[in-house]
Amino acid sequence: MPESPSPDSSGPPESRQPVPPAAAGVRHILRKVVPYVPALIPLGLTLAIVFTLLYESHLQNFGWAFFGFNFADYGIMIFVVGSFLTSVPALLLAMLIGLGISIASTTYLPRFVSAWLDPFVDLLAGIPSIIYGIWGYFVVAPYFGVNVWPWSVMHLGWIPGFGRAQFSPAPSGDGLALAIIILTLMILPITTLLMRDALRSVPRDLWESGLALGATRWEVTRRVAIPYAKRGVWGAAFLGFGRAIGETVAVAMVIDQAQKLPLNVYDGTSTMASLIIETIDSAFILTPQGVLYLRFLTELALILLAITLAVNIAGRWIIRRTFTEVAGI
Amino acid sequence: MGVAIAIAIVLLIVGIGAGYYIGASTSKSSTSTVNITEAGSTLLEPLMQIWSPNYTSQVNSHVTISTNGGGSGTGQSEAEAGTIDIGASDAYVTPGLGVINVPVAISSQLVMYNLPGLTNVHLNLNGTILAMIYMGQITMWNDPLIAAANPGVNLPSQAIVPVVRADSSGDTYIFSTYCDMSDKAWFYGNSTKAFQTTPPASGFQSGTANTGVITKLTETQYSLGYVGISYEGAALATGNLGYAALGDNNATGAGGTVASNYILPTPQNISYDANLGLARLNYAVYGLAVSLILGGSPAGPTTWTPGSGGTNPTAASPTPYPIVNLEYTILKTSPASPSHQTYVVQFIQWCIAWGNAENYLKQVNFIPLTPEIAGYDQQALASISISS
Amino acid sequence: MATPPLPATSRIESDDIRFDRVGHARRRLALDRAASWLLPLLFLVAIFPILDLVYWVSEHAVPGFTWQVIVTNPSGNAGGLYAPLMGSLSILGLATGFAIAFGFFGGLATAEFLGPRSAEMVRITANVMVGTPAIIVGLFGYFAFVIYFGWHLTLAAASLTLGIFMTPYVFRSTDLAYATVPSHIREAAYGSGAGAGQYLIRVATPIAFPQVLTGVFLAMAIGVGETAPLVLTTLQSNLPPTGLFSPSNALPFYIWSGYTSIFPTEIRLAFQAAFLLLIIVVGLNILVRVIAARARKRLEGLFQ
Repeated sequence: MPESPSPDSSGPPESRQPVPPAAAGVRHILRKVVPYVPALIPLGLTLAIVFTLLYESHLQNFGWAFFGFNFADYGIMIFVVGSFLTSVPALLLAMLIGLGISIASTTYLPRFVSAWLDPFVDLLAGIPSIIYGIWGYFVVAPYFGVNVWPWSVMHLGWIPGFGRAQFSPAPSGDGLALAIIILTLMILPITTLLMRDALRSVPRDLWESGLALGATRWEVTRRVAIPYAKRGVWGAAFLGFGRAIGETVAVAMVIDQAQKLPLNVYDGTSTMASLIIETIDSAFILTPQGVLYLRFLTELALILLAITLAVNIAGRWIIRRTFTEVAGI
Repeated sequence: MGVAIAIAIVLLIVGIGAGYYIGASTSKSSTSTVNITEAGSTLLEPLMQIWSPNYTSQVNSHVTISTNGGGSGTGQSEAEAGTIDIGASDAYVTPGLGVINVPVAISSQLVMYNLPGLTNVHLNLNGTILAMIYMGQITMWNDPLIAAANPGVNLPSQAIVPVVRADSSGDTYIFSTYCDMSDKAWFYGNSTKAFQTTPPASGFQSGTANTGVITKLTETQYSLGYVGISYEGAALATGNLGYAALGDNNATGAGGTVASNYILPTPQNISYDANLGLARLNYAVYGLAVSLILGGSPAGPTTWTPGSGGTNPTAASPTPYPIVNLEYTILKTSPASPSHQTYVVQFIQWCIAWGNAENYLKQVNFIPLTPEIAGYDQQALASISISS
Repeated sequence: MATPPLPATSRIESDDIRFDRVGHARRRLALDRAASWLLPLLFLVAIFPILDLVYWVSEHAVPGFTWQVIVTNPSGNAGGLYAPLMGSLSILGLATGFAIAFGFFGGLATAEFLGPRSAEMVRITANVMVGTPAIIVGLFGYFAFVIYFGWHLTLAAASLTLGIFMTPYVFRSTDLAYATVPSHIREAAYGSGAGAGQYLIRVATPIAFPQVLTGVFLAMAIGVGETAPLVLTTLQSNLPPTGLFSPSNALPFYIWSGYTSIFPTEIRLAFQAAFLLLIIVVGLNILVRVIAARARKRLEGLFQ
């Protein structure tokens, strides 16, 4: 298992700290090198995760079928598509709602009101996904199944994917749409907080000059503040997406797990993460198929990891100088 | 001040974790409670959950049995790794891995369907029909093959919606073994061949865990699925599910299914099958490795060739209820802690002897082991190296 | 926050012209007024689920929630939640220890010893690690600790896995805490002849500590509710863990395996476990907020 790589991989630190002039020799090395080693822990752990998974997958070659839709031939596409089908709509919803909330909180609400309301959004981030899961499974799903889905079939049925396809919308209510809704709630805090931070960072002068020109608050927000805070908005989108696509337990509980593409929004499907947690047991069977399936799931995990890493690196690069530590985002 | 309180709380919580061990390790010797860990099959888990407190309260108050789900795969691999004391599995483990298969109960499966108006009619189905449905070769309820098996029943002209388990499950293993035995062309579909299935049939539905399958069946009209017999009560309570009587299969497969004898999954029929099938068990060759207990088949030997076991009928005999299987516990033959294993073996022996009593099994609709199997179990348990 | 390029002035001007051309002051004001009423309503999207969730969990958990539930071990499909609760606390305690060991020194080194550019890179790696899906950390923990280290499904494997999951949170808050110590204080310390060690221990740590603590609590609040890393690394035991290498139950794990049970008693216990978990998580979150608010107030004082 790869441990933390050698410290020199970070390059010589351009120290601008007022560290006293260094002594020569071993002490110098100790002083110059050792303190940097712990800084590499996150990188080391991330690399350890990547290499462990790579090693454990044995780079098993499943052939081109791996990138196909046939799960029976070890195809992953159903789950990749399922992941995107849940996280992209959830992201769009969370971005819209989050933008609205952050505008309300930075622009329209008095400071003391938003100071009371903002923590609710932060608290959403604090609730464990397993609790979202049982709440979604026992409360939201039945409500949607009985009240919302029949209504939506009747009135939104003309939208592709919202109509009745082959079977009636499930009274149990779980499925793709519920997964999207629960995911939206789960990533709402990250998008809201990042956008709120970005909007707060808009200089007062800009605001006031906009208002002085006779623009309304809405117009200043739309034409000055949001363009100014564009990076924060993009960063929120990337990080929110990264969070959504990796969510496991809550999605697995409400998505109505099925290894197939959904026929409509009420239908079940599965994401990469939910497939791993629901079927990892098959990988533990003491048969050759079990071994092969473990490698398959490991490769699927690697692809999920690659997607989240890429999205997170992009997101962090965009907003790299903001510190947002509240609520663990 | 506030910081001091905060530090105190951190220390408190971290301290609970750390200080806990000190307390636990010292108190361990005084109470000397033995904790047996069981994990695996979610089908067997309810029964284990019933057994475990009863064993503690009635037999040995120093022994507690921790029951876990996780699935049969977890049960197998963790038992083999020695992580847990008892692995529970719906499928046997291939001999030669340092573990033995000890059946502790007999379970069965229902084929359930949601057909409005036919809930209380037990449709006649058989393995060939089921296999063809799951392979997408029979798509309508009023298919001639189904109609032929159900004379006089007004079958709807509706598409069948097959329901499978989405999570890995021994139920899927048992059901697909049954299909495999019945239809040569059966294609398991899934990569893992055993614990999951992705039927080629289009428009199938799936549910997570037995409860998920029941929900799915309940809410989808014209659906069909398989449910572990422990869940019979929960499934029938929904009010719109019926279960099928299963018949034997024509070994020649599609075309001329002529079974005349369709059997309901009553406890009597299941034990009858178990008795018939297990009486023919070739213990000397296969040990206790039985994937599906086939009591008999009027059509003679089935074409299915078991990998390493099974109670394949070798001659024509009356048809019992066919989807019946042994629920295994997987035990390590050379456990890391033999003294600990003594308690494990005692518990398993209790399960076989007393735990198979009706008052326990009835709650989850399991069937007691047959005397031969109980005898073989004792032989198998003797091979575990225990010392005190 | 780096200053992103300002919107080109010409753009504002042209927009300004458009304001004018749109003309109808009443419509513009109405739009503004509508936004001022409608956008705050979006807070309901966040507030309503929280209230409903807390209400629902309490509604199902509180009846029958006696002291017995907390002090009794689970047994079969009934009993209490003593083992999961103690398991969760044990896992949390140990994982927090790991996370502090990994994260605190890493963050400290990043903030204090690294140059701005390399610190930037390290921060990105830590931030990226925060986004690693829990199930992948769980899979890593399974391979690394359960299999390679041969720890099996035990408390040790679960806590180390969870500790790794929590590390980047502690790392970032430590880094942030030390990096935001006002530079005039740092300069004053070094200027009056303090060495790096003296500065860190005597000057920076007292200032940064509340914020580090905030991060630790936050990591705990996130860690205690994580399910995916535990499912692959520990077993449910009827008894609280008796040692590092004994299986340990945990509240989220109990919920995960209990919610589809056929026994109503077990489902009830799952709800009660959710209730306990919610209390722990919300408690930690409130604590985080209180400390963070105090720390901010103190820090603001220092900046003057």
